Amino acid sequence: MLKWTRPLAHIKTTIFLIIMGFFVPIFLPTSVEAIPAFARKYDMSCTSCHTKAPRLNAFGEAFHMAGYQIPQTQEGELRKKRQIGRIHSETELMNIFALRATGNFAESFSGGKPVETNLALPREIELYFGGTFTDDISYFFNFSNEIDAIEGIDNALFEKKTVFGLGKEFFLMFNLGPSILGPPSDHMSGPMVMGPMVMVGKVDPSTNFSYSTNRQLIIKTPGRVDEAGNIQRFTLTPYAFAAKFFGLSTGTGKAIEVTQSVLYNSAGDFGVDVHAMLGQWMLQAGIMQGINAGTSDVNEKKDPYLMARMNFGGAHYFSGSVSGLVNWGNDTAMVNNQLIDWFRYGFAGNVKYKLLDIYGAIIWDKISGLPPSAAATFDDSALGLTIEGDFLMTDQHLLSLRYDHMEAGGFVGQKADGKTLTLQIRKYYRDNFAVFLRDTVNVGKVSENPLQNFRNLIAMGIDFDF
Amino acid sequence: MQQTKYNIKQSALWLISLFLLLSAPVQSQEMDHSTMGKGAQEMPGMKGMKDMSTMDKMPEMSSDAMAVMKGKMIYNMSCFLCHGTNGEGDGPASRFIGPYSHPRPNNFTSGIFKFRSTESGDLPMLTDLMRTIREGIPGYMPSFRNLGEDGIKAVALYIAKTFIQEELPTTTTIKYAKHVGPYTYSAKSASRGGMLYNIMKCNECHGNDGKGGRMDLRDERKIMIHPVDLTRQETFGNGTSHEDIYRTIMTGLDGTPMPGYNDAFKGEEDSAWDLVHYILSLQGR
Ligand code: HEC
Ligand code: HEC
Repeated sequence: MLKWTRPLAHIKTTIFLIIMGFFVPIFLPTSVEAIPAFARKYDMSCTSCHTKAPRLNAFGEAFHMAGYQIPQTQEGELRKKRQIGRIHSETELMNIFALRATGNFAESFSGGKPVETNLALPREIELYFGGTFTDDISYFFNFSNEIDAIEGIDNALFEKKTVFGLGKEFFLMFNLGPSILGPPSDHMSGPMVMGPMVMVGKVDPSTNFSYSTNRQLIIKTPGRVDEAGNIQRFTLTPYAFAAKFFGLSTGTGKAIEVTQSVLYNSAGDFGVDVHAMLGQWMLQAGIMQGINAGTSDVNEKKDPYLMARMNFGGAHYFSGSVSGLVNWGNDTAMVNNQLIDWFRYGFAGNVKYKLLDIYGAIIWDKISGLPPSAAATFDDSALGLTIEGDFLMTDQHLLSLRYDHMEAGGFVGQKADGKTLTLQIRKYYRDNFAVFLRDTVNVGKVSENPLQNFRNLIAMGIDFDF
Repeated sequence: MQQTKYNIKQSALWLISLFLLLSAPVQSQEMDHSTMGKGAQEMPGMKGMKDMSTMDKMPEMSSDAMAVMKGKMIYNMSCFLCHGTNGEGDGPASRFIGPYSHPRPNNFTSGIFKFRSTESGDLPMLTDLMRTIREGIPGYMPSFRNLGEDGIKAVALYIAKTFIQEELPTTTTIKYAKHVGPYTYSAKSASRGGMLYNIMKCNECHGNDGKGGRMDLRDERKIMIHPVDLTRQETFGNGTSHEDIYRTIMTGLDGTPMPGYNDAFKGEEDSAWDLVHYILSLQGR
């Protein structure tokens, strides 16, 4: 049963927004052109690599895996590139530079407290520089400016602020393959080998997982913090990747938002990552900070992870993959000011058939080494599940449906479970410019708990890539 | 301090063990090479390919068969993602390239090829496949120039042997007059071409202004296709040089409504050049 208890003004705004969103942009020019950096560079349409940006299709994944190069071709001689010795130099800046602006420009919550409607500019603006320095060294630098980001502060409180700086990812990637195995053309048989690739810097390891954290078509909706710093509603993100525990703080004592993507599935954190492909298999391992603690982590121990992935398909418009993950958050967070170990296990899967793209992840979290003070009151295990399906209905319309489920852990007195269903439609006025409208319905209980404090979230926004 | 050291050591250990873990399968694969089975002798053809290994072990293998093997490796690394492992144009990424409109990777086994120097309806020559692979197709397929001529030939041979499965023609009956002497660009020639453009009914599809008029066309797979905007050379898939455009007009693009005009221009190749010059003039070249 949905409760539509909201003031009249609220309904009016929503209707107004819907009308605006769907009629105003109709007058914008519609055409399909390749815009962002790699598309410009290789003279290809966005959809060669993306189902719809930022999701990757099978070719995009291979391109990404090969270090932003087209598998089997090293790009020194590319049309718009110059080669000086072994160093590539881009003759056009636009070939390495891209920009993405996303955000809800309007959102309205109902069913919880308080009911609210927000108007905003795109929340997140990201600049990217990506490409290759030499055949075997590639780079990806991302700067971002995020408005209304929620950050934990001390004493289980939060603040909302504008964050500018290094974006989610900032790394160099080295392909050790040629030096270990010789040039690719030399080995002529046996399974395909790619890599090992080593990424160093601020890395999102989950980019190789069957369901990657960054590349969301349903972007997050910021939560709400009151004047005193108490959180009233958590940021809406995929629950599978979330922290899931109520009452955790980082090694430096800053509160961790229950829905923040963490550990292997954090959207990017400092570390070293190694991955390689052998036939249909990919193996990945690395160490990272885990909780986005920045460069000055008091937690000297690093969080190691192992991931194995198997790809399948290759004909009949079909492809997919399954991945398994083990992640050890080594003394990575605190409960009642004592460091704990955080174990994460998970599976993810993806199938793509024709224009349908279905992916999901189920992730279990377990905390060990709880302080005696919390032993009786702290639930040490949690589970999160996210499944999404995207379908390209026409050249211009993408329909997405996502289900999120969280069986939270943490302090029993604080915790609550979450269940949401999101339906979204995106209209692409150009290949790189979409307007979306969505409704996230809390299909579980509505209460004042920050995880449950709404019934409906209707949001409208844009996703623009240049 | 004590603790920090311990942790760094631990991290290093992790890294080292991970490297070992990753390199293990690679080494065992290299061992496969030296212990390769007898299946290798079953060449030529594609059978037993999996067991094939280093070149020196198979002196009796023809250089073409060797190239096909190399081509297979290249294909299964890069091309299958769009063209499909069976060459049927149904690779996992293919539908996203042309979700609801032309082009999509074509089905190599159908024998219908767009980019040829041969008569409409004929198979392409090996050099045609190689040209497409080398140059790529703006907007839709990357250039694979960096494979080198050997690699390009290898993968073209693989496509021919495995998917097309017929001898490719080595000559063409179409006359490719060199773009020299009487055939070079002149304003007069271009304006003759302008008249021909209407007489030959190019305008019925491409529009009077060349920008592509007709919206109701379908390709051979019944997918919507728009005539190319002749004023924008960057949209040309078959190349933009004088010779490329001449070839497009003479051969047509099989599998699309764009007909070949070789029969119409037989013995009057200079008129075909007039058309080329008209198209160039549309582009201000
Ligand atoms: C990103 C996807 C993509 C990749 C990767 C790709 N192709 Fe293509 N290819 C296409 C598309 C799309 C077409 C059809 C374009 C058209 O019809 O205008 C095509 C057409 C071709 C053609 C021409 C067919 C004709 O009608 O004349 C050949 C030959 C070809 N590809 C070979 C290859 C080879 C060999 C590779 C690997 C080295 C490869 N392709 C990789 C997308 C791709
Ligand atoms: C029945 C409709 C039709 C007619 C008649 C026609 N064309 Fe086309 N033409 C097309 C279509 C459709 C395409 C786009 C094919 C594609 O996308 O691959 C095309 C593409 C082209 C191209 C670009 C090829 C490339 O490299 O991509 C040229 C040049 C061209 N036509 C010239 C001509 C000329 C000159 C004439 C008259 C002599 C002509 N066409 C008559 C339908 C037609």
